[in-house]
Amino acid sequence: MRLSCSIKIRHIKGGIAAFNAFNGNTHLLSPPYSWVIEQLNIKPRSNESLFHEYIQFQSSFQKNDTTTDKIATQFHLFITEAKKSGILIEDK
Amino acid sequence: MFDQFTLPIGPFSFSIKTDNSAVADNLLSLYSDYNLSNDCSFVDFPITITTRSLIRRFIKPQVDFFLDEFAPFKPLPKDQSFAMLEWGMNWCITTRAHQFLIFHAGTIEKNGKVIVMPAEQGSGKSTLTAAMVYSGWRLFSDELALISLEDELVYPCTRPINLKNDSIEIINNFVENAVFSTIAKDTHKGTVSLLKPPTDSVKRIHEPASLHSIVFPKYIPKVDAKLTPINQIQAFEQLIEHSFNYHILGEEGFHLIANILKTVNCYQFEYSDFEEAKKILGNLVE
Repeated sequence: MRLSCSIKIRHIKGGIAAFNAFNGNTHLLSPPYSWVIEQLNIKPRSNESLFHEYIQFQSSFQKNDTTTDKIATQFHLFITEAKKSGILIEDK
Repeated sequence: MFDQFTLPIGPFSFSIKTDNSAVADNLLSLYSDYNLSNDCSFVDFPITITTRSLIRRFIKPQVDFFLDEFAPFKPLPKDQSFAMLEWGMNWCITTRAHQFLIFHAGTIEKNGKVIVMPAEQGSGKSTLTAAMVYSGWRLFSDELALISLEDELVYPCTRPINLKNDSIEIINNFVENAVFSTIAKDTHKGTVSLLKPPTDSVKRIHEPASLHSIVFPKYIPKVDAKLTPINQIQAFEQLIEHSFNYHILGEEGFHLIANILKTVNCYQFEYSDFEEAKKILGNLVE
């Protein structure tokens, strides 16, 4: 999994602004989703390893009553939407 | 018989040709502090406001707006001709001046610090702008914030302030010796009149300044004035919504907004009383 090369990232207070130079769309992301983009901006990684790191990040961030299932659902939903929007690319 | 004027407004030069005496009279009255001339030096926007054919001169007379030979709007009733000119001038700038990122915003300056106030129509943006600039602030514009892609400064586009409906009476009571244009009734925005800009603001029309704060104003009757900081994600989103040409500038516009958000603070601002508004906005730039 990696960021599309058409995505330009700017860090702003409270999150990340991502501009898709291919279609002109702007995406404004606050945590925890901005964290996912930041990590992929540093280096590409597999979906599994990203999810593993995301769980660790979320456990320090989320309330105790948030289950791993719920975190997983949020993560996969975000990844699906980010792929649809052309922000993320999954290399085969 | 046509009157012709060349009208320099900040970074732009308009030429206005008209056979409509109301347009000529209002121009001479509201733009009397400008360097109005009738020579045809280089112009960015050659505008003509002209009355329709012979029969239409007498039965429900209408006027057309042309930029060069192009008529971008449907004709309007003759008594809306000056308002049409002003709306048309806004259209010229917002559709062509892409050396700037342009927001739909009241824009005022004090102590070298610019406050940009992006807002929807009907949020009281022009009324608040009028009250502020007749209380010691400099008028950049009541409609447009022009932020240069080159130096990221805000450029004045000082022109008459477009007031609607109840705001006309409110500002007439607030500003001593206010000079208004003729009133246009039953426009798509209701009753409209334009307020002459302060002379000091016109004199400094070529002085850009740095952006200091972004304030999203909203007039709410009987509310205590309140300035609430908002985060940059919300501000970015709202700035895109209020921009005329973000979609045209693409990546340049994106980086410009990200750059300006690094140095400015952003707020929601609810107000109902001018005195409270003056105090709160004044504190921002002290």
